[in-house]
Amino acid sequence: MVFNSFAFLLFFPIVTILFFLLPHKFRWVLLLAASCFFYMYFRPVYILVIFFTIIVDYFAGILIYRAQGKKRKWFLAMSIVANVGVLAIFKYYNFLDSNVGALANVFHFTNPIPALNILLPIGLSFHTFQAMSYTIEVYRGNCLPERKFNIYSLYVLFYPQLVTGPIERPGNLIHQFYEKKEFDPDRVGRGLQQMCWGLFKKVVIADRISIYVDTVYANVHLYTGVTFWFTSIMFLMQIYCDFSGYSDIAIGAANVMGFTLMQNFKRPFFSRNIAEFWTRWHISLTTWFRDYVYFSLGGSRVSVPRWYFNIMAVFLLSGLWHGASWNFVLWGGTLGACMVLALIFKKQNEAISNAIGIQKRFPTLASAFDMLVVYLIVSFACIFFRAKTFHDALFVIKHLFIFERQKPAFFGTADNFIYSIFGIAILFLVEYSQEFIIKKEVLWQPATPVIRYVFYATVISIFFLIGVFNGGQFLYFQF
Amino acid sequence: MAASSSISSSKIKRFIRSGIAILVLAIVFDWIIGALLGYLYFHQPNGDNADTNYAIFKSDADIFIIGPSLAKRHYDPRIFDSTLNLKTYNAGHDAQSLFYDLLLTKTIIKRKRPILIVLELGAKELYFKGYANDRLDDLLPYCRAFPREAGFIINLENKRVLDTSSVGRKLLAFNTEKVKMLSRVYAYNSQIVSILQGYTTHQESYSGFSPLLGALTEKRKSALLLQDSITDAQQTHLDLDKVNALKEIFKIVNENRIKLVIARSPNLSPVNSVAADSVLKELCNEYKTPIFDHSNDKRFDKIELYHDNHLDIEGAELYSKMIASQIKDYLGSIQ
Repeated sequence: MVFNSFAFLLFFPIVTILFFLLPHKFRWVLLLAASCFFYMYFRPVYILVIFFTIIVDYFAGILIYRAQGKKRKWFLAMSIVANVGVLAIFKYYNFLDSNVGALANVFHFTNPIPALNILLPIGLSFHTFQAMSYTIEVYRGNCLPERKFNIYSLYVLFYPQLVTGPIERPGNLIHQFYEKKEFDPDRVGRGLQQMCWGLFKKVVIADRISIYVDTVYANVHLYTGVTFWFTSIMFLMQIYCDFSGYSDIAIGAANVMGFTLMQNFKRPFFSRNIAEFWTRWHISLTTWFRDYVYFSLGGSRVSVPRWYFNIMAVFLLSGLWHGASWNFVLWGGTLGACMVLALIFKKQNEAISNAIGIQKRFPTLASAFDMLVVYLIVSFACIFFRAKTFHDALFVIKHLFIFERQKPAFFGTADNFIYSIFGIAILFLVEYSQEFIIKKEVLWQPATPVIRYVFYATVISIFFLIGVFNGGQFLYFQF
Repeated sequence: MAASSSISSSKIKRFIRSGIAILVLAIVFDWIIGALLGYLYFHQPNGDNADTNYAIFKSDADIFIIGPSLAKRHYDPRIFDSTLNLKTYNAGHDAQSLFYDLLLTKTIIKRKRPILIVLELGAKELYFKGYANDRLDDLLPYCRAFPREAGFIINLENKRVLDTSSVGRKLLAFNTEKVKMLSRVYAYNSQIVSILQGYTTHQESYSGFSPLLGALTEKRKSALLLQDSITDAQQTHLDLDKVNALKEIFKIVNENRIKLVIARSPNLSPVNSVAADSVLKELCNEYKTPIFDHSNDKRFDKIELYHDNHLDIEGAELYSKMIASQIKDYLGSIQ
């Protein structure tokens, strides 16, 4: 079930009302049943895949806790192999197979391994990583194993964050299923507000921009230069609004029922350098890789070359996590390389900046310039993310600086362009005020009720007026 | 404890009151904004929508030319008027499909029965071009104005958004477009800019005909041919909804004893489609409807007659004379 569907518009209030009507001890039944229905709405059989990992990790958690010495490691390894194995079969098998095939072709062999004709279960990478974080945390002694199978199942299946996160940690979520949640109107109001804002980002901005971006990427050979620059810039905005919109709806929906999920995006376009960008973008995944991969490799407490290697490894893995194709690996690789280069040239960069004196004389201008550079770098890397094939990505990159008169710049239709810019302007105003003026994660909250009601009614009208209602899927569903 | 529960209950009451207030205000806003947009939409003085509105609500023409941009840019009603001695109106619309043609046929006939309808129909018009390219959203204002005639648009929109591969969709399958249309504003979704353009820009139009001015270069021609070859290659199968729309147009004009002519105007990159042609020929044979196919007409194989992938004003004049004369002969032959 997608959040921007009519089905969810029915599903959410029914589940929420029943949740508050039921006594606390029966609420887990409702949440588990609702979460299963939510997931099975796509393709019922894949619930079995989730339950496989749930069973494995549930017992692994208990066994890791009970075992001593090397056995603990073995049980952790068993859990990780099971989880990664599921990912390998459903997500990476065909990718590996096609690469083996390509390699075999080079040596004039035929690849004897057949490809699998299976669809990727929705959100597999998300709930697999969430499940893995549980066994790793138990192994590290950061949390106790969950004895109740139903509660552990809810930890993995909890519907707001089931298909595209935020990728939760057991320490933050599991205890919340034991807490009795009261109907708190203020909290419900805040949750609904966040859901509306997420829906606005998705329906008014992301889906609108996607009309333009999809047109260009459907036939990249028809465009050049300025078009590719503009498309790249717009695609980053699209993916941000799409994904952070989903996160907002997920966090808001959980909040309505009294659950607190971790923040997933923190206005990343106000980042002044690439490192800061990754503390604000897809936070639940970045911290997952930081805590479980980067730190395990030694983090920054190693030799400098090894440190750079660790960074590259994390970014390449992150790329591969996103999708089983070289495009995603290159996307991660490009961003990792930018991160390493920024570290290598940090001193020179600071020296130049000090010599010009721009930071001292025009700090705002300097910050804005840094933000722009970060935005452009990530936009560039996202060419690999969006292009259908590796060849398309290369074509776009090669033609970024080629301007042909017979292929005039294409910005989409006038109306689509205007609606997109309007949506982006609202996004900028909201995020700017959150970042620099109110410095809180809230939307505009006028004190006078009448003004507040008028504001909300206006927002609803804007939805119907310029929203895109073609049932567009969230981009991150594919992962 | 009692105090706490009473605070909680008053908070809940306030929450419900707020919810109702927002809902009521949203409905009032929707009604007012929707009514205002409806007025503005149907009173636009200029542009494609204004021409369409004129065709539906006011025109007393004997001949209506309908179709996509090729119709709007290639058929000069003034030449039809003088050649056929019949008042002609060009109701073509940029970027529209056969669904628009069907809607127009139904709504025009509701008010007035013309003598002849000329349908500009390229071979690829019957192909599936993707949901967005059908521009069904642009027709929603007419669904509110003509719920009976345009009801099929809502069903089509719903069908095309529906992902039938999902099991859940089948469980909760209902016409969501009908629900969305409860909102008066939704009918004008994404129309504000086009409405404003209708009031602020001026497009030269002669009884709905909007000629194109300008020249085509060889380089630009090559780029356009490449573009057409790529998009044509992507359109691989017939769109059954469009085939049905075409069948319905034939049926409606036949039932109302209106003559129908299928015309294919010159094309920079003509395509041959066996599948589309066989559907069309079968229908034309059944209803004894002529096809005047100029898509491969060598007389138009000149770059100076084009503006991008449409004929320019000179080419349109030449073509209008040819087709008007053919229609004159046809009308003469059946009298």
